[in-house]
Amino acid sequence: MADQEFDAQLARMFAEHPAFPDQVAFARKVEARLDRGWGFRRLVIGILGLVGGMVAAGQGLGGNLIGRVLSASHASVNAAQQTASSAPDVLALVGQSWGLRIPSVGNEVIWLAMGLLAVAAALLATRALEEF
Amino acid sequence: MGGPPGAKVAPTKPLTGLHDVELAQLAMTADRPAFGELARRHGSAVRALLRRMGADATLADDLAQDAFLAAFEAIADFRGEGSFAGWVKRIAARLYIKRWRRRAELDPAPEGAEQADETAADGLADRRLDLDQALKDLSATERLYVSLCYGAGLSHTEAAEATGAPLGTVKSHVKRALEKLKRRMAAEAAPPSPDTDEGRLVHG
Repeated sequence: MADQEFDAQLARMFAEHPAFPDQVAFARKVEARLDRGWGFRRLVIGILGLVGGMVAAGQGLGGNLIGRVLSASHASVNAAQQTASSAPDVLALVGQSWGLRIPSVGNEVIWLAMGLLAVAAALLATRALEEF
Repeated sequence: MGGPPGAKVAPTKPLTGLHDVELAQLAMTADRPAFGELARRHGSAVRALLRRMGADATLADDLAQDAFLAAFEAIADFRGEGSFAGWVKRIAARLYIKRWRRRAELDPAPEGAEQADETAADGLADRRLDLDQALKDLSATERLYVSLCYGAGLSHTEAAEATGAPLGTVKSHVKRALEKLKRRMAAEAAPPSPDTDEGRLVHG
């Protein structure tokens, strides 16, 4: 029992501590080091992003990436047009059934809209996860 | 404790009026002034513990800063189940042990060969702080282990794991330290002198 009392007394004594007169200065030092670390981190990320962007740009230009993307895009548009010409315009058909006059649009517009919708849904989901 | 860990913090409230858990929540959003307030509140406790463990004033301050920086990085791990000060103290104690182990100082120093404790040099109530005086009677290892277990709140097993020493060794160091502290404190029954305002004690 005496041992337990002494243990408790010792724990209390350890819990007591002198209030250092420079505790505000100490806190400022901690904040300054945090700011320095934060600034350094942002600088490193910025530099890495710049280097990565330059490498990507260099690779894109060196490998004629833009030309290849354009030709691939033309090929896909051609393929889509062929498919569209052989199939009824879904959007126009839906519009007719509702009594609307919807101008005929290419499939790429529909795909683009669906892609944007998917991105918006993903952003909404991310935001909702952060909030809750 | 203050609000529950999931509670939102009112941004208009001054930082000094917020509870530790609320400040920690703000710090989780990279709010550095909020964390600075935590450092202001608990810096003394962490520095005092490190000095009691055997660090000199400069090392204690450096390690305390390192501990707060480490705490900021790991702030998401603080759930508010224990006290913030206790959490940072444990981080600081582990940092000190790392340094201690690197310097291979785990061998007990001869009695009476302890380093000068700068708490007294700072004029921080050297007469009232019986504990700080009593700790000087211990060997460096005894002082470390008793501070780890009673100051940082580590169990014997945790202290053994942190220092890499066998559990039996830790227990025997703590036991010897307690016996010495008991003897010392029993001898120090004289009432403290009221002639100084320095060394105001705080709890935490």
